[in-house]
Amino acid sequence: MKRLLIALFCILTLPVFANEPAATTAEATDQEAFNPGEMILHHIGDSHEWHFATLGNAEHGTHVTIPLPVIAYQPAKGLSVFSSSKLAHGQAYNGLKLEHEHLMAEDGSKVYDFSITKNTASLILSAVLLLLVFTAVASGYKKNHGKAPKGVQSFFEPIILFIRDEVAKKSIGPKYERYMPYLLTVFFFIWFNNLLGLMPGAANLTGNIAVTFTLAVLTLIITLASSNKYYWAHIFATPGVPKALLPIMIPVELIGIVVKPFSLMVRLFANITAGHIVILSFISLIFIFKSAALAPVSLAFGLFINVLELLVAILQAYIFTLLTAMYIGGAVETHHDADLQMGGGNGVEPAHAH
Amino acid sequence: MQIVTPEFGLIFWQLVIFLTVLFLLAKFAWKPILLSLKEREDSIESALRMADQAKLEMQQLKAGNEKLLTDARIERDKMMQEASQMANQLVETAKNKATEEGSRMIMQAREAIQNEKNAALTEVKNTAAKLSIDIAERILRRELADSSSQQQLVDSYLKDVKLN
Amino acid sequence: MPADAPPPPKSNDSDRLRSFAKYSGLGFQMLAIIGLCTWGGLKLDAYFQNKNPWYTIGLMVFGLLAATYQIIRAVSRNE
Repeated sequence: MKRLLIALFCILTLPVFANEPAATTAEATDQEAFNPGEMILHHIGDSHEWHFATLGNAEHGTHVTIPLPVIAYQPAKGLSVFSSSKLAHGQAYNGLKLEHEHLMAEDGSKVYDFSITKNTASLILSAVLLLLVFTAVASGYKKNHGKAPKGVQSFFEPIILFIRDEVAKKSIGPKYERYMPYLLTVFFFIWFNNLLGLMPGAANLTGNIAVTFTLAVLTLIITLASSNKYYWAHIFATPGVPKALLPIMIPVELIGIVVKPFSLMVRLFANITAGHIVILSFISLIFIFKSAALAPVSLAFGLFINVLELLVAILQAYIFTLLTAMYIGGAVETHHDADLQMGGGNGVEPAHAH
Repeated sequence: MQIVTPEFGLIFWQLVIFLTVLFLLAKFAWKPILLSLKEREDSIESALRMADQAKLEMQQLKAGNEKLLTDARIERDKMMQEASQMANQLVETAKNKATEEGSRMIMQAREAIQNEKNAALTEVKNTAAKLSIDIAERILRRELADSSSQQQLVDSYLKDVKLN
Repeated sequence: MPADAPPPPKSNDSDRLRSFAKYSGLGFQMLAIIGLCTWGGLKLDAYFQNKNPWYTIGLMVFGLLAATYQIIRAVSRNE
């Protein structure tokens, strides 16, 4: 189990950047026939309509699509709300048009796009799902008060306990209770959306940089809001560092504050997107080689990666939550030589050693 | 480059929806869940503590019982000792009494014998006196006849007496 | 679908997973620091319209040092 997890990690964290350019360069090659790069980018990107499948020819076939509402705010014209079907096939409506899924004004003026895109719709869906599942779990606790957990409650209880005992208590320490709601919400939000994203036709929400960016910013805000004087003392006067070096060390430490959530953002985005790209690439192989003989092999690989992605879904949720807890733990730690990287660290600063 | 450029609209929605979910879940899910988990753990812990306490009490009770038992045993031993002592004493007194009684009876017997002996002696004395008088009487009656036969008679009487 | 998820590993396993997650985080952090610094340098060079990308080079080196420092500090502090 452990080795498998580690192997998984190595496979799925490192080749992330290798996959991306491969997919995009493919875009540039054959334009006429099937274009895997474009297909993949379309699938992992956001869209103003929810496209499930195309039956028959791409030009004349039937598109199974749900149009989604476009909400645009233009400083000059004000708010406008309409269905995205009016913008289909490059049409312009109300002086607005879509260019590569990017909402633009025809006259080039500024447009703020608040549309309920595919990702936003998926986000709302997952929010409803989360609320339904966990209010059900909570009502289970009310119903079986003081008794053993039942049904959905018994499935989530060990996970909730794991987050509480192994993640929050170990990383944050005695003040963990305040941060439990955020940690639990982040964990289940990421996990549920990772799983939802694996379903065919679903949105790639946790592989969207805007979503991971928002989560990372929230983590940063919570970390800063809960930081104590030791945290700042560590940044502006790192123990064991000569005074003369402080002008250099302070920017380094400040960068460290920003970079930690930034790495959270990049990791989640890259892992989930990479997973999707890998699966889609395997499926694309069938169309690239135009051979049905290849289908079993590439489907098998696609399925294998999909199963791996199920694991990655919970793993990434766990890592995001764990690292968030560690950053918070570093900020609330009362040790003088608190280390920002590792919540529970109690070793000695290397600089003290000489 | 599009996929690594965060879109403003999605950030906005993500922020709004995530915070709403966070708020609602914190209020309606995490709070009751964490609370009842904690409650359950507390109750299990207190049950364990109570069991421990009960065990301790049991042990104390057992120790008390044992003490009671030893006490009873000691008491019994003491009683038995006392009883045997008493019995011994009783036997002793009975023995003493018997000895005393025996010696008293012997004394009485001795006294009675002495008395009999005295009585017998007195009778002998009386008989001797009567005989003497008898003899004297007879002598006196035959004195007129013959003094020598008189002497003879006395002698024969005396002989009789001696023979008696 | 959630039923397919692996059960959360416990105690010792979780400690391993924990340190693994932590150290894998360091790699991303290093990448992020260097990337951010380089990106900032590129922006600055474009803003000042320098002939030579001094800001890019300088910030890249700075990022490299900063990342190295962060890694050393994190790694030398054992659990």
